[in-house]
Amino acid sequence: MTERASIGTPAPTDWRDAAHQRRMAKRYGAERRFRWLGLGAVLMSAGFLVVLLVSMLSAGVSGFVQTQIALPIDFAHSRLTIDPAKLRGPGADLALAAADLGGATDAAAIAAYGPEGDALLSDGAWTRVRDQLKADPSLLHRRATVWVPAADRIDIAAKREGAPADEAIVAKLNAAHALKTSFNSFFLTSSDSTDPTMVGIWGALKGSLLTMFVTLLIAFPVGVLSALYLEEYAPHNRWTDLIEVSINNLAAVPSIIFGLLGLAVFLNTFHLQRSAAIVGGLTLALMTMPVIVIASRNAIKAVPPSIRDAAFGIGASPVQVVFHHVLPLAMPGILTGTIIGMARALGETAPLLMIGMRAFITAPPGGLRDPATVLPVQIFLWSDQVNRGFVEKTSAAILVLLVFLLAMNGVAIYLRNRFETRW
Amino acid sequence: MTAAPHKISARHVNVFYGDKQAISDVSIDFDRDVVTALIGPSGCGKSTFLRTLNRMNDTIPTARVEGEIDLDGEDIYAPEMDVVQLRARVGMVFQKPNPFPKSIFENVAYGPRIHGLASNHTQLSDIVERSLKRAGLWDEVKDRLSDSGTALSGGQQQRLCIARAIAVDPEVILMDEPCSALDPIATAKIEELIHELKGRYAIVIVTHNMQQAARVSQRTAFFHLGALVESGSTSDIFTNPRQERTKDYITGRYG
Repeated sequence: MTERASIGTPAPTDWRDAAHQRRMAKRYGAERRFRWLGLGAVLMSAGFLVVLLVSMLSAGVSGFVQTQIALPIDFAHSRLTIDPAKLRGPGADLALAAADLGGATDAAAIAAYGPEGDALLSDGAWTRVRDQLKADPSLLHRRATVWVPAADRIDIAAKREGAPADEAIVAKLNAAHALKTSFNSFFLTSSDSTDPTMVGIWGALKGSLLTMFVTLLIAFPVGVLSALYLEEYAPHNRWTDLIEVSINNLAAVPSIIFGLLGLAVFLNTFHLQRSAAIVGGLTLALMTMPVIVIASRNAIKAVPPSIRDAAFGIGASPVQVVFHHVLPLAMPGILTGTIIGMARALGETAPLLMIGMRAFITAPPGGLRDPATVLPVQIFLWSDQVNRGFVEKTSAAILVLLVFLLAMNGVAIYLRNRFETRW
Repeated sequence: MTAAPHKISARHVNVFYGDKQAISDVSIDFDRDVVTALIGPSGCGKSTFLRTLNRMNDTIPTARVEGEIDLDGEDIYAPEMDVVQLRARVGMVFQKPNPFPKSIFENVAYGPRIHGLASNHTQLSDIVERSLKRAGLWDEVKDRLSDSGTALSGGQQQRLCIARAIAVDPEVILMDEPCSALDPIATAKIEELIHELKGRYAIVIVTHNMQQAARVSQRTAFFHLGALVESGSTSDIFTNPRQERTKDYITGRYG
């Protein structure tokens, strides 16, 4: 055996020579570049978030504020003839509408602000007069000043820039102290309307709540149970592989396809109510389930096998192992997946359009089977409106949606931290 | 059934993982009040064999067991054998301490609770206290029973696992290299504990440590390549092995 010259005792490595110095400088450079890139990425996403929030807030906050006009009404001498006794009880609205309160309100506006006076008021102004009358029937016998919402063009002129004629009216009203802006609580308590000064978000918010309730009720248990079965019980063979591939594909299916599925299954086959929260919830549940299944399976896989061994070793049955040990330990991961799935469902518009939840609905849904709409669809509908008064309402609705989303995530993160186990 | 001469007797046991045979034709007996050590080089199948004794291999989908293993004369692989009760009667302590991420009290109380061994909280507390005392852990943890079991040191965790195993009042305790993750002081405590537990249970311990086998066991079985090479009293195996392979192993020629 001949020994090669290169084998044998090598010269000791000089860790300080130029080649090593260069390598070192290169390594430090790579570290630095990587750190800057990462920081840049974080700053960029934070910047986008700030831009989004600032633009939404600047455009949307005015949606929560309403311009109101002082309307002096002399109820005693108006054309209004109504028995004060009728102002109590459930028939009051009907009685006041029949007594032409709307006409009386318009007449009061014309008396106060000239022949075009009634055009200064919102179409729904008389409902505010009605609410005042119901609250205080004694108004019927005297003269009073009622603050009613201004028409949308006055509203726009008062808040931002309106038509020159409207600006002049606003200036005149301001001089007479007949104009004020106040928090628009009506926006949070009423539903859709054709008049932007009368619209509210409550109907859509309640629709979203009901829809999410149905989604969670179906998707969470079914998703978690499927994941548990697939991980803990199912044999590993070609069928379970097929199911796994299908679930992964299902999670990537565009949402509008789920809308078509919901349309075909829930509406055409089961004949459930069109536009109802229950159909929306079921459709979104179909969409959310794969996300929950995948996240839950990963969380269940991450439970250390030693815990399963310990529980089996002491004589726990498979069901006890799952519900006493595996599920509690996997819960934080399962909840994280559920948050992601539910947040996606909350912001979803396309599948709900397919099942008719884009209808114009002016009353909040009373139950799961009533016609309803949801926040993102409401935003979509308002953004489509020609009337400029809807611009700020759209932004305001987006703010409500974001707050809803944050509240939902907050609850989920709180729950997740409560379940978190420290090792 | 008390007439059965041995606590556990295994006859012609074969274990397969898929097509691969891990244990071939092992026949061995384990007696009451005796500590039996299973020794042998890594991968010789001693842990696999240990896991057949309480059917922990059932949790591995590809594992298949042939032959007969009797506990008090009853075949534990018979269809009418309830595996949940079997594992309560044949407890197990694992290589790595694996307490539940729950309180110390809950760790020990879990077994009695699922098997309905206590009818009220006082009884349960008594079982927990007795088990922790028997595991030699009571004095160290009695003031912090509500602390997490995972917050204990490695040796304490392993004694907690032993307390958890004896809380369900088993007849046999299987220990799968219980000291391999522990330092010498913790190991000494566990060995002391095995000595004390010997009078109550049949103990089967798998160990890599020849000195440990010599110290804690009365009987020793030497496994090699999935087969039982030799078994007998510990002193015989260590001083006067009949088989050449056994002698080579315990004198450190391989393994």
